[in-house]
Amino acid sequence: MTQTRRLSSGGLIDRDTTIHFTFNGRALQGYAGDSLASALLANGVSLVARSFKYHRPRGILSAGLEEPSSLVSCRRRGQVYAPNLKAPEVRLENGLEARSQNCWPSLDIDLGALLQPASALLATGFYYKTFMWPRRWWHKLYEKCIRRIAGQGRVSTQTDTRLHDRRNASCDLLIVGSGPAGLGAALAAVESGLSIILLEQDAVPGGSTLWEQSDIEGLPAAQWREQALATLAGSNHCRIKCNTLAFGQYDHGRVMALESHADVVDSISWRLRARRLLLACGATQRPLVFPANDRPGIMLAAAVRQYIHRYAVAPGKRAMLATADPAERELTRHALQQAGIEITGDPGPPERTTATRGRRRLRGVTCLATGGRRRDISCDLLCMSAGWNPNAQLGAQLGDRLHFDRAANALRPTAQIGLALFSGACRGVSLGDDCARDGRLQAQRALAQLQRQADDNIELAEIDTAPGNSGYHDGHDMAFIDLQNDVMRTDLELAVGEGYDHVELAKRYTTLGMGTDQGKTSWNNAILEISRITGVSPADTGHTTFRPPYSPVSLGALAGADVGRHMTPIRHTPFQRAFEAAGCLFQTSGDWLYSRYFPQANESMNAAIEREVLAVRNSVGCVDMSTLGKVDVKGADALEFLSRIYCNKLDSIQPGRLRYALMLREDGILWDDGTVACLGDNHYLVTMTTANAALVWRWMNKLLQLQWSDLDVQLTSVSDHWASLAIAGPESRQLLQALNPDFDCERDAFPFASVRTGKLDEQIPCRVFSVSFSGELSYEINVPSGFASLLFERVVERGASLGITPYGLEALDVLRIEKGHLSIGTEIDGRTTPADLGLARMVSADKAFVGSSLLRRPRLQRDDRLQLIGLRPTDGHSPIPLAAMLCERPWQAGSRLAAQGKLTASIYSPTLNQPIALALLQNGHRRRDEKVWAVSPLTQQSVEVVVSASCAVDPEGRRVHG
Amino acid sequence: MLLIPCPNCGPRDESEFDYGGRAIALPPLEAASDDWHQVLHLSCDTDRRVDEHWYHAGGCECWIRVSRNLFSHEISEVASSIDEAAK
Repeated sequence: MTQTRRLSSGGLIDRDTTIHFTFNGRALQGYAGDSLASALLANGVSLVARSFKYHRPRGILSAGLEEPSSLVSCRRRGQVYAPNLKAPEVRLENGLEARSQNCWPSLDIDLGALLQPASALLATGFYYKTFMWPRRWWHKLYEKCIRRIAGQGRVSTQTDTRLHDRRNASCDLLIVGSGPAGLGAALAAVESGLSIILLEQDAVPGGSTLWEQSDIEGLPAAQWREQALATLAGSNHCRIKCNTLAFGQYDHGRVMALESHADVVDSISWRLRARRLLLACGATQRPLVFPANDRPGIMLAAAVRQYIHRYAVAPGKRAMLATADPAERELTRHALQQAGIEITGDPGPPERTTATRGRRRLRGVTCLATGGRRRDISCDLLCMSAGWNPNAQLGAQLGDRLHFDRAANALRPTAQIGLALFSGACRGVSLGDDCARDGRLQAQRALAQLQRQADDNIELAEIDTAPGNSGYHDGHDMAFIDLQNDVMRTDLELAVGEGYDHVELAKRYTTLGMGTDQGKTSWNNAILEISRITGVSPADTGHTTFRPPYSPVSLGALAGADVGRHMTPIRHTPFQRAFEAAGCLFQTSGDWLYSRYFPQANESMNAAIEREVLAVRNSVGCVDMSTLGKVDVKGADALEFLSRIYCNKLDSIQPGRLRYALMLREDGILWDDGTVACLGDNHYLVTMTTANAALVWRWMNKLLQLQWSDLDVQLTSVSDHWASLAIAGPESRQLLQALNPDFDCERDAFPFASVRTGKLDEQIPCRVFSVSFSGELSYEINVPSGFASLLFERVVERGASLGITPYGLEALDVLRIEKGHLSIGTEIDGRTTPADLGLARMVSADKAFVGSSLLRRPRLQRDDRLQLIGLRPTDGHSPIPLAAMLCERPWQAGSRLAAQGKLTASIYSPTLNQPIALALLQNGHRRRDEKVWAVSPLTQQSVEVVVSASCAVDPEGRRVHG
Repeated sequence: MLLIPCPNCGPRDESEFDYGGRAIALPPLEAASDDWHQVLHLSCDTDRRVDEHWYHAGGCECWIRVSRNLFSHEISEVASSIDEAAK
C-alpha cells in the first residue's frame, strides 16, 4: 500500500504516470508533477531529517526554497550524490535516490540525538568558549569530533559528470516570478513590443495560482493563468523560462540565473542583461516561535494549502490552526475541509501555544488561554503563520536597505530600487487579484521609464498589507527561530546579553540565517526577537546584507563547460602540426601550447634536453619563436616614440640593423625586453616577450592615444602574422645559405644584430633577424604564418647533413641560463632594475624615457641591492637545489635563515658538464669568487657554491658572430 | 559586471574591456623624481566620483575615459581618446 495520504482527486499531478524513487533505501512511488517533499508526504513519511546541532527529528515545514529543515542528499541515475538539497525543491523523477543526512546509524535511531539532554551546554558560543584550550588539541581532536557530530551532507569526492553550460541573453524587461503579479506584468508589457524574459524558479509557471483558488480579474485563478499563458505564448518577444532561478543581481541590470533540468545539459547558468527588472518573487510565510516548534507535522499554513490543492496530498489527519491573519485562517480551513482533514483546534489570538508533544511526529499541542486555563489539543498537523515576508532579496543585493512595515511586522522594499521595480507580494500586496493589478501597473511604469517618458503618470495603489503578528508565543524551552542551524530564542538572548546586539554580530555569533536557506523563514523573526530583547524598534534594528546567491548554486554550474582542457582557450603556434609530426612533446605556457622537447625513441626528457643543447652548441638546432609579440611601428615620429618607451639609445640605429632593448615601468623597474629592428625610413619592427605581448601592445596604444596624441605614429600588431623559426648553432649560416636566400648572408654582409628582407628559394617571403638567445650564431627566420610548415620542412631537409636538431622550451631555457640571459618572472621579477641585472650600460643618460626619472631614486642606486650573478658548486658536481636561498651558513635545524639572496634558475649544464645556477645576491657584482651556501629550507639541503659571472658560456660573446 | 557605454561601439559588457587605472595626469618624462613620486605613489583618492581609463580590448581597441561613481557604479560620462584629442 503506497501513497496512503494521496487524495483521490484534484491537484496538478498526473496520476497516470507513476514515478519510482527511493528514500533511505525504501522503494516508494509518486506521480509526475510531484516534488520529493509532496511524494514523501503522500507516502506518509513525516520524519525526513535530523537537525544540524541537536539531531532533533525534523519534517517538512514549507513547500519551496525557504525550506530550512528537510535537507536530503539526492542522486539522479548515474550521477553522484548532491548534498543539502531541500526536499520541496527536488523534482521527482524515476530512479531518484534520496537519503537523510546527519544521522547515524539511521534516521529513526540516531545516536547523535543522545546529545539533546546536553543541549544547555551546546548554547551559542559553546565551541568558542570550550575548545580554546589547550590550543594544539583543536586540530588533533576537537575539530574532528565536532565535524563528525555537527554538520550537513557530505560533498562527493567523485568527479561531477553532469554537463553544465553557460549562456548570455539580454532583454528590455526581465520579470522574475510568474505568479499573479509576474503574469499580470507580462500581459501589460507584451503589447509594447519590447523584449521580455520571464523567469520562473518552479517547474511550471503560475506561482500561487497553482494552489490558491480566489478569483483574479474576475476569473477563477487557474483559468486566468491558462488564459494569460496562452496570450504570452502567442507573442514572439516574450520568453518564459521555467526551472530558472534568478539568484543574483549585479551592476547595471546584470542578473545571473540558473536553469536546471535543461534539455541536453543538466544546467545552464544564464548571464542576463536587462534594462529594467520587475521583481514579482512573491512572499515567504513566517513561522511562529513557540516551545518545541520544530516537530515533524508543524507546517506553514500556505504550504499545507499547496500540498492539498497542487499535489493532492493530505499532510495530516487531525489539524490545528494557528494563524495571525483571519483571511489566511479561512483559506486554510477551507483547504483542510476539502482534503477531509479534521480540525481539532482553532485557538483564537489570545490563546498561546506553550508546548507540543510527539517524538517522531506531532501528537498534540498545549494551549494557554488568557485566564491561565490550559487546553490540550490532539493533532498531527499544525498549520501556522505569523504573516508574510516579501521576497525582496534580489532587489536589495546591490546594498540597498529594506524598511520595516509595522502593520505586517515584516521588511518591505520601496516600489523601486535602482533598475528593480517590485510588484505583488514581493512588496507586500496580499491578494492574488491585487497582485495582478499591481503587476500591470508596475509594468507600465517600467515601460514608461524605458520609453524615456519623464513623468509616467502612474499612481500605484496604496498597499493593503496582510496583518502579521510579531510571531511570538510564550515560552523559551526549545523555541526555534532558525530551524536549519538550530538557533533558539535563548541563543539570541545569550548573544545579545554578551554584547552581540547588532544584527550582523548576532548573526555571526549564533549562525542564525547562515544556513543554505539563508534565513528565509528565520530572519524576520530574529529582527523582532532582537528588538524585543534590546528594546530598539525593529526599524532601527535593521537587517543583515543580502548577497547572491539567493539560493545555493553548485560550483559546477557556475564553472559551466570551462573545466579541464576547456578552462582557457589554448593557443597553437603555426608550427603545431609540423612539430606533432616530428614527435614533439608539448606543454602549456600561459595561453600557449609550446614545444617542450623532441624525444627520440625511448629517450628520457633529460637525455633529450642534453642532446638538443649540445646540438645547438656544436652543430645546428631550430626552435619555434612565434609566440614573441611583434609590433610594426611606422610614422614620422616612430623613432621618437620608441626612444621614449625604451631606455636604450636608439637614434643611431640604421635601416637593416637592430638593437636589444629594455623597457621600464614608470617607477623605473625593468618590465620587458626585446629587439627594435629598423626596416626602413620611419619603419620599425619591435618584439616583446611572450608573457608581456598583450600588455605591451595595450600600453603602447595607451601612451599614443592618451598622452602623446601629437606624435605621428601608427602601430600594427603583427604577432600572429609571422611564424618565426630560429636556427642556432655554429652551422646555422651554412643552413641559411642552403635555404637559398635572395640576399647575401656572408659574415660581413649580414652581421650580428641585423635584419634582412627577401625570399627563400625564390618563393617563401621572409624577414631574417640575426639575433641570439642561445649565445650561438643564430638567425630568426620569420615567414608569413601560412608558410610555417613549408619552412620547417625545408629547414629539416636542408639541415639533415648538418645534423639539424629541433629543440624545445626546455633546451631553450638551458641555453639561456648558460648565457645568463634574462627571463620574465625569474630575473625580470618586477623588482629589478637594468643595473641590478648587469645592464647599466644599456640605459641612456642623454634622454628622458619612461621610468628615467624614478630610476634615479636613491634606493635604486644602493650597493646592497640584489644583483644578478652566476653560481657553481664548489665541488663541481653537486646539483644546486631549486628555489634555494643564499646564506652565509649551511642549513641548521631550528636556526633562522639569514638570506642574502635567492636562486632564479638552476640547471645541469650539458655544455660545461656541471650544475650551474643564476641568482640575485646582495651586492653580488662585487662578490665574484666568494663562497656562499645555497640552502633549501624545503628539502633541507645545503650546497656550497662559488659566485661567478652570470654568463657561464662564452663570456666574451664571440660565438654569436660565427 | 558593469555595462560601459563605449563612445565608438555603444553599451558593452565590462568583460570586453581592460581596466587601465585612474585617469591621472602624469608629469612630463623630464620631470624630477619627486614629481613622479608624488603622482604615482602618494596621490590618494577619496572622491566618490573618479575618472578612469578603460581599454576596449574586445572592440575598437580605443582607450576611453569613464567617469564612474565608486559607490553606485553609475557611469556619468565617457569620452574616447579621439574626442579628447580633437578638443
